[in-house]
Amino acid sequence: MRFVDSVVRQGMFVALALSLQLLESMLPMPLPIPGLKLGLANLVSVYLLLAADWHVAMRVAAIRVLLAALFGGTLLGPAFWLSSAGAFASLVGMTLLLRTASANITILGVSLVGAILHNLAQLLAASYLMQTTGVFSLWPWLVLFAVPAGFVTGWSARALWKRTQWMWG
Amino acid sequence: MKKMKRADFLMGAAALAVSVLGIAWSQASPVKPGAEMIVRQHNHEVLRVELTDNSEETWTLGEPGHQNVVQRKGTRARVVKADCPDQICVKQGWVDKDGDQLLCVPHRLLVEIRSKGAKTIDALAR
Ligand SMILES: [Zn+2]
Repeated sequence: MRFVDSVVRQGMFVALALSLQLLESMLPMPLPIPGLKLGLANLVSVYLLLAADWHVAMRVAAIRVLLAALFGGTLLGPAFWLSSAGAFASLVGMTLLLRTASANITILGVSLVGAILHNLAQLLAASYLMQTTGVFSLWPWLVLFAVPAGFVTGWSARALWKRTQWMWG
Repeated sequence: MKKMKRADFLMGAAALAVSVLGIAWSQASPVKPGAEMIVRQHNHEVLRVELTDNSEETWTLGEPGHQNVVQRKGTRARVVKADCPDQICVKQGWVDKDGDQLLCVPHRLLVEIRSKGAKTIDALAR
């Protein structure tokens, strides 16, 4: 029963993260910058880091990225590598930060670092794919957007978690 | 649980400061005359033209389904249209500064403005 429960729950979060990613792809971007993402789907990752643990967050993110690429027909294409790099780097960074510095920072700071890493990893992947270092001139713009995005994501994840703790009892 | 700790705030402020400095610095970098437009597709150079007069040229690169139309007008360049899913390359509009890039990640197309003989990090890395 416990196993079924966790599978159902994780499936639910994959669906939620997928919907958020899809929603984001339909929103107009404020600036035409490759790799610029609001990271709506990242909300699910931050929430799962709070509510469950990094295993669950990583699994849900991996399935989300894979399914989004399958549905969008971009599997193993450039967009797939960019979003994989972003999701993976941000989760690893956030997990490490939660483990080492949770006495000094809250989920807001963790989420901020996650948002910055998400964007920088996408740039790194883009620069590798395109064999150019010129894309790094875009990093100040990405960081500028990552700061508000990271704080809002962290704040929302915490608010959601407070209201849904009963689910994880 | 505290709502926000000092380290959260400091990290946010530091990131913003670094980002604003970075933007200011990139806006201040000088534009050099006698630049070239270099187009690479899948990391192969497919086009290199001088950005000199006020004439206008248009190139259609790639096959339908994988196509970008690149235009040069005087010393400016842009992607007029493309059939990529994100259209980021088109929305980037005109570029005309040294080191400026137009990037179409789905089609792995790169349009770069570069001063002749300019030593870029790329050139050094090669
Ligand atoms: Zn494009």
